[in-house]
Amino acid sequence: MSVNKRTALALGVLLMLAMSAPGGGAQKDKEVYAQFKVAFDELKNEVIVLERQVRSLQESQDRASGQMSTLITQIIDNVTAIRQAQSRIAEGSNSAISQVNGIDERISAVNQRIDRLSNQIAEIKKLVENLPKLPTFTEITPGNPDQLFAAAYGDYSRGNYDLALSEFRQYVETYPSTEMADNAQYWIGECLLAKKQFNEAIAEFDKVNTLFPKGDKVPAARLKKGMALMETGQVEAAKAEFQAIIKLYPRGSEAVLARQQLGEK
Amino acid sequence: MKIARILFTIILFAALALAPAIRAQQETPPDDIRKQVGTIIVTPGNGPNLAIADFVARASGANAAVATFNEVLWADLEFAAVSGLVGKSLYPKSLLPDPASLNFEQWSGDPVKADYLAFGNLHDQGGALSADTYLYDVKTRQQLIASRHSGDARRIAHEFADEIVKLLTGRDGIATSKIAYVSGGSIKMADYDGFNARVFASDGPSLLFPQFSPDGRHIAYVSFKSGVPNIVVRSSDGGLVGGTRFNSTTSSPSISPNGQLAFSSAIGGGGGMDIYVANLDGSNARQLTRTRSTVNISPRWNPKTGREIAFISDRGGSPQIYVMDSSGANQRPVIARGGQSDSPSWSPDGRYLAFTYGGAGSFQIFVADVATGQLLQLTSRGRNESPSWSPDSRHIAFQSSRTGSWEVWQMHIDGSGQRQVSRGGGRSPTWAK
Repeated sequence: MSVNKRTALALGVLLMLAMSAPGGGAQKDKEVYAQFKVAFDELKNEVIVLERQVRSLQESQDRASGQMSTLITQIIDNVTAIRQAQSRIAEGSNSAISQVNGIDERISAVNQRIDRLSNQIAEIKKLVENLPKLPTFTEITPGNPDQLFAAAYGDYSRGNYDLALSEFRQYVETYPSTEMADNAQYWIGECLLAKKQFNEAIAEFDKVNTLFPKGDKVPAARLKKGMALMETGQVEAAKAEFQAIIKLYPRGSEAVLARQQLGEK
Repeated sequence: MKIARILFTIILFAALALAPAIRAQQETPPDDIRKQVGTIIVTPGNGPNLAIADFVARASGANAAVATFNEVLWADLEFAAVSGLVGKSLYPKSLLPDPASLNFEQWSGDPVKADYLAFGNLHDQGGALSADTYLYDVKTRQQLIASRHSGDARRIAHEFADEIVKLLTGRDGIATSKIAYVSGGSIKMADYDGFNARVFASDGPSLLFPQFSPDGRHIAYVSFKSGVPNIVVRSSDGGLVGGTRFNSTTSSPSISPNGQLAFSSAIGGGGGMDIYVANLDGSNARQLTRTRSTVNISPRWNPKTGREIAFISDRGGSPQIYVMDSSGANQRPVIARGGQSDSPSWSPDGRYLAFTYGGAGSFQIFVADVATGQLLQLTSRGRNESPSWSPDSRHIAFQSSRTGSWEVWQMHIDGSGQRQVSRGGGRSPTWAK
């Protein structure tokens, strides 16, 4: 409102200046021009401000009306669905004359329940919409192994080990035959290492070998198992693990790391 | 029984009819990185509105300090991007030095329509500049902050800006953070906005690649002092902690959250570079990569967990980003898409990798979601390289050639808000609390 008033004021000044302009000499012209320019600049600024406001208003309106139209569509769909159901019930009741008695009442009871239900659903929907969006958590569509793996690894890299652990476990359980299943099993061990649960980690690294013996994660899992054994003080078992890696996978980078481990200890 | 079945059918039907609609509401595409980072940066009209009334001078001779304070506070909160800022042209004209002068309607109504209002005054307290700072929720008329800051005008503006950010978001702001960068062969340290730059280290003809530790207490860099490039580690107040003393090129240091040093070095021989991990003083170096005549460089710890290291390797032909466990096991490419990648930088929350990507003379800053590998290009003007994350994982500093010479710039994680930070040359920025 006050922008409008100021705009009107500036316009007034402009008009007055324009009317008084022809009366004066060159000096006055200059002054008038300067005043004119100031008023004009002010106007320009107001226009820019107004433009911004209109734009942000427009955007929020667009957003609101988008949500509204989705809601309306949903309501219409629901009403249609209920009407269809009703007409089907009506047809059924016509054909089954013996059951006609009381069915109308029941239908209206059903209708009431449907009304109540759809109110409840609308409330739930509102609740769902108003749930604060947590950008740090990826929503997972059921049946998408890549997303589950990505979410699990995302949680691991952010240090959410418990969450990552349950997600990797879920992955191995649900998608044991995908290409990434041995990776997921390996990361279960890693999560436990991060939580310093070394004995549990050793058991999970073992599973990489027993469940996915042909996977490419076996050498890394055995190396990590060796390191976990070291942590628990089982030095001889660890050494045996490192020697096995050097013997079985002499060309891999794990062999280099295993040799280092043996050299150090 | 029949009725029950009909009822059940109807409910099922209604539920089915509603289900897709509800699902559509829930599903923000989980893999859309642009949308993801868009939620991190608040754009005007897309969050609360903050009005910042000009602070009032209550001491003679404080006018210049007040002007600086007002300018810095505005710039800080604009770059913080945690709220929309209401333009000052819309504010009431009366001065607002203290809560007694506050007329709520003026700020909650048209045209200001602020949700929050920051204001206060600067005065002289025993010869030191001091600010009484206030933040109000204009709608509920609640006082959220009433505090006092003393010191230099820029510093107290930064402190108040961080106080506001903490209150609005619950997270630490970045206005009191610092950056270090290479300038003219020495390493300079400055406020996060580039002011108060001073030489931090110049112990060698040409210093390179400074990297703060995640807690900001140490900084590692490369010096040619011994004739062969080696790592120097100092505490952030300048004291020497240690470094490497190898007779082959040793470069690109990175410090883990628990104080371990990773770097790349040619000490292994064989014409390549490999990644090593050592104690912070350079002792007890262990080799993590061993690949014949390939280059493994730019190791960067995951600063959140310290359990993984991203690095650049050309073992697959062109330089690409790989990740390995901090033990050296489980080495694997994470972003492989041809072209050349360089200088990865892991966000402090562990969620994203920023890096330089390009080829044929054109290099730009990209961000990848570590979990999905999805990419977002953030820059396009001139050459843009060497990204480094802000402590709050919401902003990135980098070097850009867009003005004709290398300078340090900053931007938001979605690529918006780009601004120049260094003057007179700046490369390889690193950013810390």
